[in-house]
Amino acid sequence: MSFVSFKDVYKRYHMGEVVISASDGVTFDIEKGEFVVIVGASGAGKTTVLNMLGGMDTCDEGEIIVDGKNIAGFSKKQLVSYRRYDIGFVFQFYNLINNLTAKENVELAAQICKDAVSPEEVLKSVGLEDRMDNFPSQLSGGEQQRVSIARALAKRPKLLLCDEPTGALDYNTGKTVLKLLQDTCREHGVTVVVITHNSAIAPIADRVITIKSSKVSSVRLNDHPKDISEIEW
Amino acid sequence: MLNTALFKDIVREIKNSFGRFMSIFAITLLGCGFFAGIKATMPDMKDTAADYFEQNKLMDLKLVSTIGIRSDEIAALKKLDCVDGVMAGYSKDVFFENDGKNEVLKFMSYNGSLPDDDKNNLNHLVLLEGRLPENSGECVVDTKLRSEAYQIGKTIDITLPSDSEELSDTFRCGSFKIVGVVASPLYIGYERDRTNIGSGTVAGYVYINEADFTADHYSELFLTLKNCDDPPFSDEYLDKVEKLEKTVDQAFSDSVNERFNQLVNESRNKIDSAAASVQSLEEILGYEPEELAKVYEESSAAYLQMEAELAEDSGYLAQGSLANAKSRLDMLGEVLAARQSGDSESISVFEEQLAQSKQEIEAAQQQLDAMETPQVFSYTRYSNSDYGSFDGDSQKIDMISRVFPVFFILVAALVCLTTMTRMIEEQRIQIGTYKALGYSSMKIAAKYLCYGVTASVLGSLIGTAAGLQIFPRIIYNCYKILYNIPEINTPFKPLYAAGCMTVSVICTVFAVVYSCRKELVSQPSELMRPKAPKIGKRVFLEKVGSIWNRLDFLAKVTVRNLMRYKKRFFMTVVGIAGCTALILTGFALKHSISAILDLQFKTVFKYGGIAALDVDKFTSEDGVETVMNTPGVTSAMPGCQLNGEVTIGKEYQSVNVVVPGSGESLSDYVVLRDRQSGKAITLDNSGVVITEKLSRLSGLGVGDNITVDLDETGSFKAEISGVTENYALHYVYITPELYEKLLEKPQFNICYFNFDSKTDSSELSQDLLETGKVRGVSLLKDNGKNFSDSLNSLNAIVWLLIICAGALALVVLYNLANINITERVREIATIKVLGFYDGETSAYIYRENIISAVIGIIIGWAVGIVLHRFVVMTAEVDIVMFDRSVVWWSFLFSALLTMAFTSIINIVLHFKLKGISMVESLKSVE
Repeated sequence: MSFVSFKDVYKRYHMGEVVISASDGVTFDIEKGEFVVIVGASGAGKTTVLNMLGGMDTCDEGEIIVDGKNIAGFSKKQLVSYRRYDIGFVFQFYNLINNLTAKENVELAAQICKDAVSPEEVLKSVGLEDRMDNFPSQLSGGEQQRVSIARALAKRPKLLLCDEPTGALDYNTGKTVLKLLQDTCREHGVTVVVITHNSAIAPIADRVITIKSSKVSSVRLNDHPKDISEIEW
Repeated sequence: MLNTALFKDIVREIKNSFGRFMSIFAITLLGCGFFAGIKATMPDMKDTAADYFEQNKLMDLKLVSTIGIRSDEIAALKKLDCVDGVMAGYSKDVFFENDGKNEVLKFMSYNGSLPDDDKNNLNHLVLLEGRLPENSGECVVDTKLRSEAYQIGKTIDITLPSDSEELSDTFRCGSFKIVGVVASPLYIGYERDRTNIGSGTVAGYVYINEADFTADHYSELFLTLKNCDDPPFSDEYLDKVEKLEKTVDQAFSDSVNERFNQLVNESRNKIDSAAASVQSLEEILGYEPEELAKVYEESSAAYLQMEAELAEDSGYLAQGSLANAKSRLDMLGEVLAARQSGDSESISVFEEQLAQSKQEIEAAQQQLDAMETPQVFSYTRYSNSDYGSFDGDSQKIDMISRVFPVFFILVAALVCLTTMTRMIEEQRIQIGTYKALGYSSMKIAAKYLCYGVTASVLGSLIGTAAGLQIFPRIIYNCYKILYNIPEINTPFKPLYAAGCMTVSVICTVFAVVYSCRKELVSQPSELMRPKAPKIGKRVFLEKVGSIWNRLDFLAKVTVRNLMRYKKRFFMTVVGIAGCTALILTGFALKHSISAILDLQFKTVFKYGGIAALDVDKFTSEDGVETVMNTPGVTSAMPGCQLNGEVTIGKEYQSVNVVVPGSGESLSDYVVLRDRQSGKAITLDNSGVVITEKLSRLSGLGVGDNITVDLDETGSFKAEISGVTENYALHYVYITPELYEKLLEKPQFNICYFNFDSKTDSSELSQDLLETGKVRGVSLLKDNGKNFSDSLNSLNAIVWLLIICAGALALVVLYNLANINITERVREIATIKVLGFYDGETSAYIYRENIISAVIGIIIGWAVGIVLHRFVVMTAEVDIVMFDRSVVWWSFLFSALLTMAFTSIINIVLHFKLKGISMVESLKSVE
């Protein structure tokens, strides 16, 4: 059995009398320790998939199995616990708390987990040991995204979910961040799922899931994922 | 305009952000309503009174004289230019035995024959129940008289206090059937006249038909003055009345004196003519029989001649002298006949008559000599102290209205400012879009101006309209315990509405302009980019490592967040501080008011009761002994209580002068001590002890001399030897020795007594009254109860304050908390994504609220102490001294209530936070 598996997942939004399906029978599997990229055009339904996988949103139909549990049947409270202990999130716009320093932002996540990595250590691992006491506004975009990743990693999540992590970054910074994510996957064995509309990133993944019009149009396995330095966009 | 896209946008904006619109609306509504309502209370109360006076033609002056009033005076006063209407009336204080006690009633005449609009028909009675007296033997009673004996249909049997007067001299009959209950504009409160019979105070008035009075002269003359239509409580009115009073007094006193002199002359003439006839009788009796016959013949001849001469002259003098001559002739004839027949018996009858007449003449002469020149008195409306206190009470509300509503308006303005600022911040991109489309800054600002102005205009209009109705009524109803003016008029006051509207519109416009100014000068491109979030900063506390390092992580976050949104923090603190301060003031005021009851009637007054002794029939020693021997009484002390006045500047204060049987044993009945130190004060012959409030009002302290004018026995001046704790009414304590030295030997007319706790107090009073030596008994606990009734009116105002403060706090806190959430929705969504449970998420926000609340409460306490002091000072009536300390539980309750309000808001917030959708909030940057 796969580590993550979506089985015929439906998500519908009711806009007055119109029903819009954001997920229309999405089905795919992800194995433990994989680096997964989900690609698709804007509005294809990638983020909905990620939100459901991350326990931020619920599905209307289908099963979402994560590590043997069907989170589609979770109560609200169970979902919070699931997010709290199993999931790490990285957003396009970082969503750091502006009033907290880099270290404190990590602490915010670390203090609610049972077995958190120490904030200093995790910040060091993302290369920010010198910027620990800086506020987000004093950091560059790439640095902020690294803090965001550190915050997610501090919880030792089973799944690291990244929503367009390079979307707001320039080319080089974006690459550094992707490198960091890939390294995290390889070195710590964390399952990483990255959403992007940029299909150029796909070659670095172990598994590439393409989503089109709220459906999975293809799932492709890369036997030899490329290194970040090898790709360009 | 109505069809433009901009207008549609405004309408939709209001619809979509109805909560925000409502919060501006609600806060202006509260602020304006409270302000206008409280502010209007004083004018409304005064206008209502003025209308009432005007409608019922309340007199401006009342005149009385020691020799009564006859038509001469009425005619003389009507001639004066300054006098408008004149009405004379009868009045008489009588006894009515009600429930075993003699009550004094003031009977007055009612003239139903005058039409209502007659200018000489003054002091119209307001009929509250039943009907006005129509037939002889009917009466209407004072609304103050509430006991069983005064119900409609009952009969009042009256007696006169002194045996020398006959009831029939004054009244046609002695019992009157009650047919109605009335209020007279002469008495707007429950204070009635003083009297010289019975207990000294009139229990109430009774009106009977004028025809039921048989007295030969009127007792009171009521006047209205011309050109005195200024508002009745204004200085102008007082000045004018005071000025005209002198003219009227002069005319009245001239007329009274003239009549008096005439009266004296007439009496003198009568005595003279009586003396003349006595003299001639004496002369006649002195003649020898022969001589008598001769004189008779001569006189008879002279009389006939005179009769012939004066036959043509019908003049008064001529006829008078003729009558005199005739009576002398008759007398001569009778005596002559008796002499001639040798009837010595009739002669001795004549001699007896002579002696008796001589005596009578002498007595009449003495009476005439002893007749005092008449005195006249004039009274204005203010002679009844309720007029002054009504004025004073309305002023006090005005005082309160100077602080509290301003506070409300201030908070309202602050809330408007934050709300509008937030709104404009949220709509940066929209503003940018409008700008990019080519709308001018003015037009864009117009949208927000319209939004804010609509909310504040609606809020202020509805608020003012409602406030003008609600607050004066509530406050006035509280005062209704003290005054019996009919329902208050609460007209809509366009000026108030306009004023409130202007202020609130200015506030909103300022808020909009202030918060727009940055956005409007920015480039559209700049506006379309998200605004850089407020940057995090280290706070001062972080420099204090010893404290900072000890705080747990969340505490650090909270401290930093509070400092980050300083404006909102400041406003939350102001809002909460205001709420706490108002509630503290409310509770402390309630205590200050009610505590004096306990203090006065338990700490200061120790006696069980006071018995009024019947000193006309029995000696005071006898009376005291009777009281002492009544079962249950443990101790008794004679005393003398007199009414007096102390003049302070232009005003005067009524004081009770108490002469205890002995200065030393007074402490068993009344405690004299210094309030602050608690040190006992001994009353000795070195001077008088006055009560604290009197000392404060008069500015006189220990060592100063005080002059007290007693109502009956004259005035005395004495050194103040002590100032004693006292909370209600003014007292001057003086030893009998000193009183005797200054004035006269005091007549002990009351008896203080204590009784053991096992004795039933009502039985005791009855026992005392049954001895016949006691006229009345007043028990301390009953006194306390009467007093508390009048204080309860203030209590209700206090509750009003507390409720309003609570409403204010709720609106402010909710508004600010709401802004807090909308501003930080991303942050909240983020921590939710991180896996904070709902409780933890709420706690994250609550901490800030709770800390703001705690700081607000502490500041509120400080503000409250000051506010309480101010209100106590202004709300205190002259005869009362409130407890000035802030009672400890008012701190507790104000904090608890504020916390409760904060908790309510927190609970509401909790659900709001729960409802925040992570997906929606994090979707994109606005």
